[in-house]
Amino acid sequence: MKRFMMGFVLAVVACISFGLLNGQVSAASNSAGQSIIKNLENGANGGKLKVNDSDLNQVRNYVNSGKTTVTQDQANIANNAINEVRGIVESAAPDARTYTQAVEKLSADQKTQIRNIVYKAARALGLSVMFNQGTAGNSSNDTTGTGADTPNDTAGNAANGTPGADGTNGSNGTNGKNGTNGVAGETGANGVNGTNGTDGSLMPTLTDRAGNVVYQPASPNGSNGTGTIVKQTGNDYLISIISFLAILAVAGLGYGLIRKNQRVDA
Amino acid sequence: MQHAKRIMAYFYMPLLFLVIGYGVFFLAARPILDFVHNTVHLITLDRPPKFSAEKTTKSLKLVTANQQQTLKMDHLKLPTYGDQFGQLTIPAVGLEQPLYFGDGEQQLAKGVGMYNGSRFPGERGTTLVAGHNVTAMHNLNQVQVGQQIVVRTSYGVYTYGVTKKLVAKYNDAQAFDLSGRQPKLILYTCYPINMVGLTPDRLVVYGSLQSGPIIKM
Repeated sequence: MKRFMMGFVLAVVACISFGLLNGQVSAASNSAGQSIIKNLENGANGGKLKVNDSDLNQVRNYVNSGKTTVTQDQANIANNAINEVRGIVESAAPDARTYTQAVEKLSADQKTQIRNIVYKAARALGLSVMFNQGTAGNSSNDTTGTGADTPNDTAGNAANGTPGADGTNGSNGTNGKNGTNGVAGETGANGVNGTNGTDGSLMPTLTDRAGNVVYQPASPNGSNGTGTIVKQTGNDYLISIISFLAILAVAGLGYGLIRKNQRVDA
Repeated sequence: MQHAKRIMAYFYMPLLFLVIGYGVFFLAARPILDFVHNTVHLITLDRPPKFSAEKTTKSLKLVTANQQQTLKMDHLKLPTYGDQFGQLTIPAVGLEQPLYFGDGEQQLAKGVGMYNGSRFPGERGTTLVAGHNVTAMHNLNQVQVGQQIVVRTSYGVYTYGVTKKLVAKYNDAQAFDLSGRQPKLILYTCYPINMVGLTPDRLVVYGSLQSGPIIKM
């Protein structure tokens, strides 16, 4: 009986200890995650360049998800990464008030540096990163032309420091497909300073180990390159109907040919 | 005996070849058959398909009545992208759809989806929910100002009153503004509602929170 009582007491103590420990880990995880959110809320340039609500909310929702555990070490790495990016942005674009303004001022090296920081932070958090290299803002909407020198000059992206071959400058300027820098394309007859273009090469999509989306940038198909959070909620049935009619037409043609050949045989 | 076997062969041999032939045809033509079947089914629909609440929410425990006025974030098990976490209902127009976290194609094919860059119902901020126009949110155009929208989640029941309804461009930043700390709900779908194909316009319905537990950090 004595042994049984001892066993019972030990089990109760173990359960309570485990519960407390678990609570502490949970609280630590939560506070560690919250520190990332708080850091992001500060933005850059003394709070004048703010993180978009939709971006911030994606971080909040990830951190607060029931399946996410952020350790203090992970949070430290993430916070260091945020601070590093903040430092780069503040040195390159101290007057920037929007992402676009900041991205315009960043050099190719700085963009590469930021990408590497994102990779490092994501690795620490166990996330996968895929950058939208040169496909979004940089390709169709990134406008960097500011002068009026050569109308069709190129103003590609600053990735490899070579002139963009495909990019055209101006209000609808498109970027070099290969993410190359259009040094000569700084000017253009229709060149206007890109105010709405966003740099595709700095727009990552983050997924967790299970492949679930953690962060995705706003869709870059908004007007003038502004991202939109609104999805296409129409059904593209037209394609299905056309395909179906095409199948019917092919079947009809086949039937017609068979009938024709039968008549010849007869 | 020999004679009986020969007679039987007249039955099972054709049957065997029929099964083999049909099997080969089915395997080879299955992608096309599926496509044609789905297309015909789609064309012959006379009403939007109903997603049974029982079927979609059988593994999910939804709260039926609120026990508390506030909830602690630490105590909630919020979903990850792609999980169903609630149900959206507009009783006045008979709209009832499973609510998913995330508004990708996979989620919108099954019900309505909350944008993962918006706030959860009960948080201080805006919850943005999308749904397809010819299926999940077909009845959204019948919603009138003053009617109620009910969102039942795994942690609370939220009732919103419809405050505004309008048609906006998909890239109208003001129409889809997520800023502010007032708990509100925005529902949207493609417009015109019966439009086949992709459209630049969205029918947007706004709701402000009337009741439901507020989530605190």
